[in-house]
Amino acid sequence: MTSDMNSDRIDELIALAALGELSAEDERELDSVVRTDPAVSAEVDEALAAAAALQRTHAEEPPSALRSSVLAAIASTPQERAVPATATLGGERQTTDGPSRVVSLDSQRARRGFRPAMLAAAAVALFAVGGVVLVVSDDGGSDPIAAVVEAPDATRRTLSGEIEQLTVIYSASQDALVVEGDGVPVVDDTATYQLWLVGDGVATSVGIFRPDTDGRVSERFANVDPSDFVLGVTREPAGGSESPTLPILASA
Amino acid sequence: MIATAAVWMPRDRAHPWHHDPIVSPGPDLVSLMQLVQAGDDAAFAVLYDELAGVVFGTVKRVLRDPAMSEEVAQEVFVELWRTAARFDPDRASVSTWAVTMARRRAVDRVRREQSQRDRIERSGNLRPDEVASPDDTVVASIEAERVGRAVAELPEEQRIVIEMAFIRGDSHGDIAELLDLPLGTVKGRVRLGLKKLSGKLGAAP
Repeated sequence: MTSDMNSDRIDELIALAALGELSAEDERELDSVVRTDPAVSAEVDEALAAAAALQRTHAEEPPSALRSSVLAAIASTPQERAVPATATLGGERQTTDGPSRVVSLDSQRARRGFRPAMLAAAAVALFAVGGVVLVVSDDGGSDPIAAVVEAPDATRRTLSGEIEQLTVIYSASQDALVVEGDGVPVVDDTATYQLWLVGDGVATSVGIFRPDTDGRVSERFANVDPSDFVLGVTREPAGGSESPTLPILASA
Repeated sequence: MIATAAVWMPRDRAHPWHHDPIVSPGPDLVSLMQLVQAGDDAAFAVLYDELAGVVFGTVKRVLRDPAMSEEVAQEVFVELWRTAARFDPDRASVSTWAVTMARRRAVDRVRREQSQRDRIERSGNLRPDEVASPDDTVVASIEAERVGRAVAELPEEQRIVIEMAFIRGDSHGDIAELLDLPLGTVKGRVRLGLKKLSGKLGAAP
């Protein structure tokens, strides 16, 4: 190992990875080492492969009904698009569910009783990037989340509403924002949270995020500037939605 | 993760196990995954047939409860479908990817719904020497035999912990309590045991 991290700590993280017991913080810590240390990366691979080999030896056929349930479930489950090759294997923590969409909220207002006052106060100039694809990219840094959070020009906005534990940190120099939270209500696999930029009656999806089992959120979205927009968070079906599903759970 | 919870998946690396030993002489899982990545649900059905046993077995060993295991196994397969684009055959075998995801999902469910005490009670107060041997309900395969031999060659203190963790499905907290060991000792033995297994299995033909 060539990492500066204590080797005992690295061994501990590798053991937890193989056990499936990494916390979100553990994962970020290990990911930061793996990115910069090929030897550690190799050790992680080998440990996971060994653990998987052990677990494969004791297969057990599931009830036959599971097959039809699974196939029915995937029929209504959208797939993620391909992620950038440089994306971290921390998986969902660094990805979005595909191109963002620009969606008029007019129909939402009419159909679902949308509350324009919630957003009108802070709504600003017309959002002029219709159709833009907001894609999470990885800048290859050792910790892209920390790069945003600790950037000298980072600004914070605390969201309020039904969910009060979310903060959005934006850095122009990093061209990215990070959503952080603690104690955020956990959603099951049928649902996800979705972050939107709202301006002049148009909502644009930034991406989806989910808290870990302890309610922690730490998600980075690149190529997005929220400065002139209201931020809104909704709860959506797994995979996200093309338009926000009311109510808006938090906004700022 | 993610998201739910953190998802730690195998990283980019050419590794001798990145083929899929469970499939001989079945279909090529990597080819199936490529079809699944393109949204082919028929290919996914075949993939399900190939992986259902290892995914359900992995989940059930951790959760014990059959109904909950079925539910979580479904979550795993839906996640496999949803995140198929992330699979890279140069990073890991399909089955390693699936098993890693299944283990993590099951652990997430334990954290969410079961107390450690409940699980220990369900495990029936097994003594360490009563841990299932590699011969129990083993899938008859060359890999199983090879893995079983490698496990048997581990120093006893590592073998017991490895079997409890990956054959019986105990968390490291469970193991520490059952064996009356510090958590750090358990994690250390898991790490050492896996490292030795990796050497033994990786060196094998």
